Amino acid sequence: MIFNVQRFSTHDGNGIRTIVFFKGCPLRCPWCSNPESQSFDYDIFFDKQKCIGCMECVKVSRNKEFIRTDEGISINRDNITDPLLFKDICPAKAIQVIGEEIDVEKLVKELEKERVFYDNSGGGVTFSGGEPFAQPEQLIMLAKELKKKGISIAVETCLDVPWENIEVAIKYVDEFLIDLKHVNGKKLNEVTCGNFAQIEYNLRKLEAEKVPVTIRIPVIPGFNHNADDMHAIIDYLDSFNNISELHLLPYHSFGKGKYQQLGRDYKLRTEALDKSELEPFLVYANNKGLKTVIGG
Amino acid sequence: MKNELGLSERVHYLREKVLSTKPTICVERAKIYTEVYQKYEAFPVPVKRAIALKETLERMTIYIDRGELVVGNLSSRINAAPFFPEYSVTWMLDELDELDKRPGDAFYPSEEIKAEIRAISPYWIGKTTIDKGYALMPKELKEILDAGIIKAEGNLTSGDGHIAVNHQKILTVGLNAYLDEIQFYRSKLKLWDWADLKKEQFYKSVEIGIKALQTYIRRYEALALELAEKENDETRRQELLLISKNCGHIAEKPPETFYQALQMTLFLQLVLQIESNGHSLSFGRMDQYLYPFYERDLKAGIITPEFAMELLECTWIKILGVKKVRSWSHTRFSAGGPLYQNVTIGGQTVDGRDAVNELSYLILWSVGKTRLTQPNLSVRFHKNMSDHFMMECIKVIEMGFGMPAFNNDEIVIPGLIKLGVEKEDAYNYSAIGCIEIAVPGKWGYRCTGMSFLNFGRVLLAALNDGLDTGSGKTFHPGKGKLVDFESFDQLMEAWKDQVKFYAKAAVTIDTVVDTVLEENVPDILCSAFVDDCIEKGKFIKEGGSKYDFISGLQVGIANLGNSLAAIKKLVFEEKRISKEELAKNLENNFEGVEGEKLRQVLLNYAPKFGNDDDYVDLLLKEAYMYFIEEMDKYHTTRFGRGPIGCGYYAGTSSISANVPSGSVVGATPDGRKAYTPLAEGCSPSSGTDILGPTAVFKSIAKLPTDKIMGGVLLNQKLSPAVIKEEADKRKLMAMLRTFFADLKGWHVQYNIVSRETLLAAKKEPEKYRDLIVRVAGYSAFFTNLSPDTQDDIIARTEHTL
Ligand code: SF4
Repeated sequence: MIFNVQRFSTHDGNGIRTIVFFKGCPLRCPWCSNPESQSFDYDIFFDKQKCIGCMECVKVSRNKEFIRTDEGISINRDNITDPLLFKDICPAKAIQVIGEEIDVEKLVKELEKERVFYDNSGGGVTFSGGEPFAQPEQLIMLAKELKKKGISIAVETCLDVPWENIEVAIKYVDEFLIDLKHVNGKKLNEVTCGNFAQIEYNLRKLEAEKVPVTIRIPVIPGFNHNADDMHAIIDYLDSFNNISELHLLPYHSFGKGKYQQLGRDYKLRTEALDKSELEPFLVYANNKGLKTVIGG
Repeated sequence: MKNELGLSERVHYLREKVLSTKPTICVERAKIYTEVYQKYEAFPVPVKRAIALKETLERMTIYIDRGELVVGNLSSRINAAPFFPEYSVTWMLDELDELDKRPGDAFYPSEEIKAEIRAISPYWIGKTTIDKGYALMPKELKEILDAGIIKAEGNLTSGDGHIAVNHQKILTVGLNAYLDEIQFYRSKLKLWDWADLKKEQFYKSVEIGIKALQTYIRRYEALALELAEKENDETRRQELLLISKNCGHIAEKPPETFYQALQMTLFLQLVLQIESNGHSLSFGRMDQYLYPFYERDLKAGIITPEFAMELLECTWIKILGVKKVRSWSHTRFSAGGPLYQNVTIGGQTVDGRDAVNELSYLILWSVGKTRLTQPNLSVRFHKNMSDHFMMECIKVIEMGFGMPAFNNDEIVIPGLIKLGVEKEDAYNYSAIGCIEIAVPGKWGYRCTGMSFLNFGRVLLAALNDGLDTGSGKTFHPGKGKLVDFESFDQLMEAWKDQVKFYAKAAVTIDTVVDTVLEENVPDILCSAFVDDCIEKGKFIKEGGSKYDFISGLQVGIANLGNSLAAIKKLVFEEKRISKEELAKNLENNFEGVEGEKLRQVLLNYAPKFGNDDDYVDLLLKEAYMYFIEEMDKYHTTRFGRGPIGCGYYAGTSSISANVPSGSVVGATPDGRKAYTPLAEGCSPSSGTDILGPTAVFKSIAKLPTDKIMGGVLLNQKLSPAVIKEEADKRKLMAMLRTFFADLKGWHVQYNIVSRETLLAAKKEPEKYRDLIVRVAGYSAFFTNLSPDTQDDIIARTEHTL
């Protein structure tokens, strides 16, 4: 399942790219800017501000999924058993069903539309998510078709998946973008539910396979934005010989609005980190000989 | 204001002055023209006008401001728009007391000036081009004009403009040579012949005109000398002496230096705008015709790039001081008071080599440095243009004042050749005004088009059995109402039928306008400087130019496509909306919750132009083609009188017309509410292109762009942060190259979005759904972000600007 196809992306791999966002992720990072990417199932976005009060959703509701209240339309998420009932019914798109089964043929056609831009900019398609490797069959099917057309593929992954999922895909992937959040297994697990042992295993396997990778670290206040943690992560990365680039991504809260639309709380602060607050780590990493940039 | 642009003290002073001087009106020209017209009433029109021009150039106030390096003036004061009574006086009289109260583009004439205007005007009432135009106009067409379906007012209240003269020739042969040439052809006339007697009037007036221009230049020679004698500062004294010497030289002979050539170019620019108040008088390929002078001077060591830059900067400031006062209704079509004085750089040489030279860079940088609205800078893209030059262009675009715009050789040149333009001329085209194109010095007026045709109104007529809902009149009986159509094809037939009718109406109006302009206000000097008028003994309007093509201007392109797609998909295919429901809601402007519900469905569940969706893109192409094919049938008033072409093609360079044009169109089936703006040029409707700039490019490229030679206007908005980093600029470059070289796009210009826009986007997100902002490590649609994030970005943008 995917949840979005975004054209003209310029910062998730080389050149001008189209991103295919896979739906579903093993991690639950509280800073995730696409919270709708986490569940492997359909989600419903409800944006009350767009609602024009036409009552269409109330009419469609069988189980009081949407009801009218004094404060306008209200959603009872617990009552929703069949999200697809609400697909495309809201004229104002205040209600949106997020998630779509992959139709390879249709999707490839869509992705091919940007072909000339990929060719002239050295770009291509980026699988992101969610976690693309969590749906290996779909990924491979799609990748095979794109490769046939000669379209370059990048994958953005957290690596917290069985090695087999990755192994079968290696030959199709031109660029690995690995989002590494922490190297302290306990902390990682507590905050993101991630399994560092699995991630580390996959990292070493990729190294052994001599697959060059770009590592991207989201720098998050209260999680890893401190000298000890950052140095530990960078020192750890220094022990690899297949890292072509390191990107330090300053924390931002741009996904906040989406949490609201999913009926969830955003638990982190709103204030973003300034680029300058990452400078010391840039210097630290560069001194280790890691080619590092802030931003991606 | 502080000198933040790093300009020289002189340039900074002059720039500040032009920016801070309140616009007013100058009546000198009007007074002299009135006197001459009264005194020489019996004279043939061209001769009368030549004398009026001569007396104006001899008697008007001239001045040289502190520190000026290039001299010349349009009127008695900087930012004073001349009054041109022979074109129209009624609106001026009506609006005289309102000029200073306009919400935009205000003028502040003193009470004395107003009194003079009131004194001059009575003579002209009933004699102006607009009076004569309406007198000649068939009644039905006058009604169509009054109804606002077609707009042609500016053509009758102004001169023609929209032209570039043959600078190359003027700078090569010098003004005296024109007198010799006139003499040569004149001596061959057989005055017993009717046609030759007419030509005699042409030559007589052109001779007067050229001599008048020489006198005007000589006056500056004298003035500079006079000022030099009084000047205490030795540096300035030397400057004035040089100005004097230069003027003395170019009054007769071809310029010898870059400085002289540039000065001559400026004189021409000013005098041609004294002769006529048609705007979009353009410079053509300035980097090409001035380069030999620059190169020679540089080699000889008599110029430095720095000084050349300063001269160019002074020139841009001078031409910003050129102002034009238009009626309020015309002003709304040209919001911001532009004169559209275009400078074109780049492109290719006739043999297909990259034409970019050092001067191209200096022009680009100097425009970037002065950062003004004039000149309107266009860059001709071609596939062999260097990355280096493109990068410099992008850096200027990044400054955020919308320049340079790009035109594309890869489509324009083959398009011109297909029209019958000789290869050598096709390779030498330049932009005129905004984005339109012509061969400078060889093309008649208005390659940019004359009448504005409101596609929104035409579509509504097609849905209402021919009834124009705005005026309540049926100008052309229709093929039924929306509810009567049993298939979408029937609807398309109805559109085709209506648009053909209005195409003919538009051309008929042009014919009326052209006839009146030809008979009453021939441009003398402008004709002298356009090939092959002197050889043929004809004014441009009589068919003197080598080429002659014009385009209509169509407004509401995207609205047409989106409306058709919405009806086809939602009404005929999916039946989500009934015909009755849609018809009712178009009439009552989506009233109430039910209306809004329907509108939202139209907005959100039908494909929109600009998203690379064949469904709507090809539908638009088909609908537009009916109009384009129809225009193929018509010709201009010059047909059979000499020029190559004399045909029509389509054009979408509709300047700010989308706003006033929208204000007279009821609700449309694309979900657009009544009286709101239509889509601008060929750009997608605001906020409907949600897949980013590449998808827009793809959609645009599906239109028959090689047949829209009047211009395919595309405006894209980017936030400054999107192209801040070098790597991002490279991606923009790759995107542009793809658009032009592969997709054969016609034109694009960039709006690097300001904080104000972001604030507006926050307030009215539905209008800005296409606005891209650079976030932390990625780009996002601004309106997709939560309000507090938006605030964050607004704050940062302000910070970086
Ligand atoms: S269908 Fe949409 S617009 Fe209508 S009431 Fe429900 S949420 Fe609001």
